[in-house]
Amino acid sequence: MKKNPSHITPPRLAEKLLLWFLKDELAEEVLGDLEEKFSSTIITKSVSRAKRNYWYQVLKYIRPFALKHNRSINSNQTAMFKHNILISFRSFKRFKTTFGINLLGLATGLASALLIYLWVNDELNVDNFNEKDSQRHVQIIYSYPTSGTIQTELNGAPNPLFEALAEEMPEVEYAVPVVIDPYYKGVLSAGDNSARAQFQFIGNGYFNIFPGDFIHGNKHKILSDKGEVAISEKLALSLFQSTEKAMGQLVELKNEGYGGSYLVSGVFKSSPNSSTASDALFSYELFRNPEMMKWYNGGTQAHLVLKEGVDLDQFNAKIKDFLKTVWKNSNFILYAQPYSEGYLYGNYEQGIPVAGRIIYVRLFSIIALFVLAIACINYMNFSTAKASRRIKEIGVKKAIGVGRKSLIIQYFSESLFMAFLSLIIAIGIAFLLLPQFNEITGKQLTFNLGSDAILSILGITAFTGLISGIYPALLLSGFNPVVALKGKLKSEIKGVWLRKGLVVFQFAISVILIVSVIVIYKQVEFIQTTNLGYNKDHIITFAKEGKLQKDAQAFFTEVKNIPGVVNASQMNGELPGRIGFSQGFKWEGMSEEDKNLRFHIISGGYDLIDLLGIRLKEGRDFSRDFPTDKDAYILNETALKMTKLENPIGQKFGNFNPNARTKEIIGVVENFHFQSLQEEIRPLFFRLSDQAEKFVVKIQAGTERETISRIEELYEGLNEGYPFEYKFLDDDYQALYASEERISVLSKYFAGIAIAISCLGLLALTAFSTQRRFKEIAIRKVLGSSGTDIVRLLSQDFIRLVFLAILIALPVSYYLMKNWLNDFAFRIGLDPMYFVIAGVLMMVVAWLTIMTQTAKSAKVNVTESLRSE
Amino acid sequence: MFYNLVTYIMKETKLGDFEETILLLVGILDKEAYAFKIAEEFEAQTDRAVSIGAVHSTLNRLGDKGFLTSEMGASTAERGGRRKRIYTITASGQRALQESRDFKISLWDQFPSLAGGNLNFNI
Repeated sequence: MKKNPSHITPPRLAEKLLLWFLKDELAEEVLGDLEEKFSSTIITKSVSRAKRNYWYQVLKYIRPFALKHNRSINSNQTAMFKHNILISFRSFKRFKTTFGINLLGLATGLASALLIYLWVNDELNVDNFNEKDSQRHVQIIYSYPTSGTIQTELNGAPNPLFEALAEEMPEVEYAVPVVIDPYYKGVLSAGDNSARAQFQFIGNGYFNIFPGDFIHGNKHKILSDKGEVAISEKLALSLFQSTEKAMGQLVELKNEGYGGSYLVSGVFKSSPNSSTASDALFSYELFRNPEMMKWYNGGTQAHLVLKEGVDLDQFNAKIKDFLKTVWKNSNFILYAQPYSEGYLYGNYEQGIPVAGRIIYVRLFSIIALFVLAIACINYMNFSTAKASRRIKEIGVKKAIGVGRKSLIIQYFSESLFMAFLSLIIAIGIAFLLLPQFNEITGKQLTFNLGSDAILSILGITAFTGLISGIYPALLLSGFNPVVALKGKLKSEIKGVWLRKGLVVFQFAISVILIVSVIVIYKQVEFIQTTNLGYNKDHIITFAKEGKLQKDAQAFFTEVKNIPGVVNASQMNGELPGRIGFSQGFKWEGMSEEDKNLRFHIISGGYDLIDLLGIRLKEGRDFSRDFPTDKDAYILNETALKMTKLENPIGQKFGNFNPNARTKEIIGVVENFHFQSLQEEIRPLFFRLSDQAEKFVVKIQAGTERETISRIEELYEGLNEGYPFEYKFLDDDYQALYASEERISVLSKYFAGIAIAISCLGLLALTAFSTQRRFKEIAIRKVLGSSGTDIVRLLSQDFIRLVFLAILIALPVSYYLMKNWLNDFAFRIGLDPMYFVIAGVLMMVVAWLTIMTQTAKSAKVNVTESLRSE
Repeated sequence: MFYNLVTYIMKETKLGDFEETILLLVGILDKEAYAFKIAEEFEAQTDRAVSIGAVHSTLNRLGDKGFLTSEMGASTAERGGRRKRIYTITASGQRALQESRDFKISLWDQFPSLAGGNLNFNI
C-alpha cells in the first residue's frame, strides 16, 4: 500500500486546520495546490518528508489575506478587553475588603489544590514504570481460605509457579521470578568495610519490566552468572568509597544459605518511584535448587509479561484454578494484577483487588475539589451580592447596546483574571509550604514543572476561574435594562436563594471535614493507645548473626548482667506484622476442614512471652526446668477457639509429618495483636527455638542511651565484623500506621483551611448585608430597638443557614466515616459526641464570625447614617 | 478606515522585487500560471525555497493592485479533482513591468563604468 503514492493522502489534521482558518472561497484552489505539491514531493522524497512539508505549507498559509474574517483581530475586542480589565480593577479598588478576602480565599484554595495535586501525581506514579514491557507486566497474587475468610498474599507463592504458568499458558510471553522478602538480608563486606544489605534475587528479563538506572555495567547483561552481584550506589560508596572502584571487585556476603564471595558486575541507583527497594541484586539461579523448586516451597513472586492484546479478565478466569491442576494438594486461587496497580490497589477481597491507597488518593482529590469549591462559592457570593452596586453599570451598558455575550465575557474575564492573580500567590504559598508538606507526607515532592504539570495547573486555575464566574456571568448579564436602571432588583430574589444554598453547601462540607478530622484522629489515637495485648515499650531488637546465630549463650549471660537490661530473649519475625505461618497441623478431635487451618508461629527463646508482657491465661510459660519444653506449644486464644480443645493443657498437638512426634500444649496466652489492627487476630502458637533471627532486649525506662551503648560494645566484641544496628519495637509499630498518622495530620490541616475559607466568605457576606441595612438599623434604633435586638435580627438569617448546613452534614458524615472505619477490624465506635462537638464547634465559629460584623453595625451612629440622602 | 485608504494608495503605486518576479513568472507560465506551479518555477529559477502560501499572498496582492486577473481553470487528478486558479497579467500589469524595466535601464545607463559599454546585457 505504501508503494503506490496515489493512495497516500495528506495529513488529515493539517487539512482540518487549514479549513478551519482558511476563507471558504479559497479552499478549493489552496487544497488543490497543496495536494499537488504533496504528490510531487512524494515522488522525489520520502512520505514523511512530504507530510512534514504539507504541514509547513499549511502553517505558511496563516496570512491575513487567507484568514476568515471573523478570526482576524478585531480592534474593538482588544479595546473591550482593556476596558474589562479596567472595570475589574475599579471594582477591586472600590470593594477592597471583598477583593482581599476573595483573593486570599482563592489563593489558599488553589495552594491546597496544588499541593494535593503534587501528592496525588506522585502516588499515581509509584510502581508505574516506562520500561519496554512494563505495560504488559502482571504479578500473580494468590489467595486461600483460612478461618472463615479468604486471605490474599503477594509474597511466598510456590516457587515453580512462574515457570509452570509460562509453559502452560500461551498468553504468557515470558515470566520473571523475583524473590523479595525482609528475610533476605546479610552483611556484605569488602576489605575492612562492611554494611548491612537487603537483597533480592531476580530472574532474566527483570529490567524489561522494572527500572534500572545503572551507573556501571549493562543492565541486560549483569547477573548472567550465579557468582555475580549488582549493588546500589549507596552500598558501593560505603564499601569502596567510589562506584568505579566497586566494579569487578569481590564482596563477601555473610548470610545463612547464600554466604560466599561475589563479583560486583554492576552499580545501580535506587529508583525513587519504586515501592520495592533493595541494596543488592543476585541472580535467581543462585536461589534456585532442586529442593527449592518443589511446589511446597514458596517465596518466589511470579511476574509475567503477557502477549500483546491478551484480555486480562479472560486470562484471570483461566488461571484461577490453575494451581490445583499442577499441584493437587493446593487450595490456592490465582489472580493476575497489573503490577502498576499493586501499590494503589493493595487490599483484596475474595482474592481480588478492591481498594487500598487509592482510597487516600481519592479522599484527598475530593478534599482538594471541596476546598476549591468553597473558595469559588465565596467568589460567586460576593459577585452576586455586589451586583446591586454594579447594577447601574450593567443597565447603562445594556441601554447603549452592549450585548449579553459581551457582558458574559466581561464577568468571565474578571473571574479568570482573579483566578490567575490568585495562582501567582498560590504558587508562592505552595512553594513556601512544600518542605513542611513533604515532612508530613513522607515524600520528596518538588515543583518539577514539566509540561504536564504546567498544563494541569493552568487547567485547574482556568477551571476555578470559569466555575467562579459562571453564576455571576449568567445572572448579572440577564438583568432587564429598564429594571436595572431603575435600581430595582427583582431578579435578585432568585439570586438570594441560590446564594443561601451555596452558603449551606460550604458549611455542610466544613462540618463533614470537622467530623472526619475528629473520627480519624480518634481512630489513630485508638490504634496508638489500644491495649495490644503486649508491651512494645523500651524494647529493642537487633540481628542475631554470625557466631551468635548458632550459639548465643555467652551473649545472653553477659547481656543480662548489664544493669539497664530488664530481660533478653530471641525471636523470629517482626512484631507487629511479619510473623511466619504454616498449615497441616493435627490434634485430638479435629475435623477434615481443620487440615487447612493456618497457624501463625512465633518461635523464640525462653522469657519471650514474659518480656513482651503477654499474659498467660492457662498453663505455664516455657521453662528451662522442663527439658521436654523444647517440643512444647503455647497457643493463643483464637487458636484454642479454632481447635475447639476443651482442656488444652497436656493435649497432643503437632504436624502431619509422620516422622515428627506429636507434642504437648503447655499453656494458653491471651490474644494479642501480632498483626495490624486492620486484621482480625488469627490462630497462633509459640514454640521454643535457640536459632531465631534476632535478639529482643527489654531495657529499663530512662537508661536507654547508656544501656544500648553497653549492649553495642558487648555485641561487637563477641561478633566481629557485624555492625550493631538496633530498632525500637515501638518504631516498627509506628511505621505500620504511618499512613493513617499522615492522613490524620493532613486532614486536620485541610479541614482547617476549608473552615477558614468558609468563614472568610461568611464574614464578607455579613459585612456586606449589614452595610446595606444601615438605614434600617438606624430607624430601628430610633424606634427603640436595643443593641441585642439588632444583633439578633442581623445574625439570625445566617445562623439559620449554618444550622441547616449542620443538619444536612451530620448524616452524610456519619455514613462516610462508617465506611472508612470498616477498613479496620479493631475500631472505635461512632460516638454521638463527635457529631455534637463538630456541630457546636461550627456553630460557635460561624456565630463569632457573624458577630464581629453585626456587633459593629449595632453600634452605628443613628444621625450619621440617616443624615445622608 | 483612514489607514486602509493610505495603504491602498501606496499599494497602487509600488511594485516590490518579489512581486515583480512573481508577475514575470505569471507571464512566463502563461496558461499554467497558478500558485503551485509559480512556486515551483520560482524555486527552479532562483534556487530559493518559497511556500505556496507566500506566493498565493503575493498573487492576491497583485490582483488587488489590478496587475493580475484570475479565473478558475481545469481540475486534475493529482489535485484530488479540485480546480486551479489561473492568473493572467492585465494591461496595467504589463505597463508596471515595462515601467519597472525602463526605470532600471535608465539607472543602468547612468552607472558610469557600465554605461561605457564594458558589459553587454541583452534585455
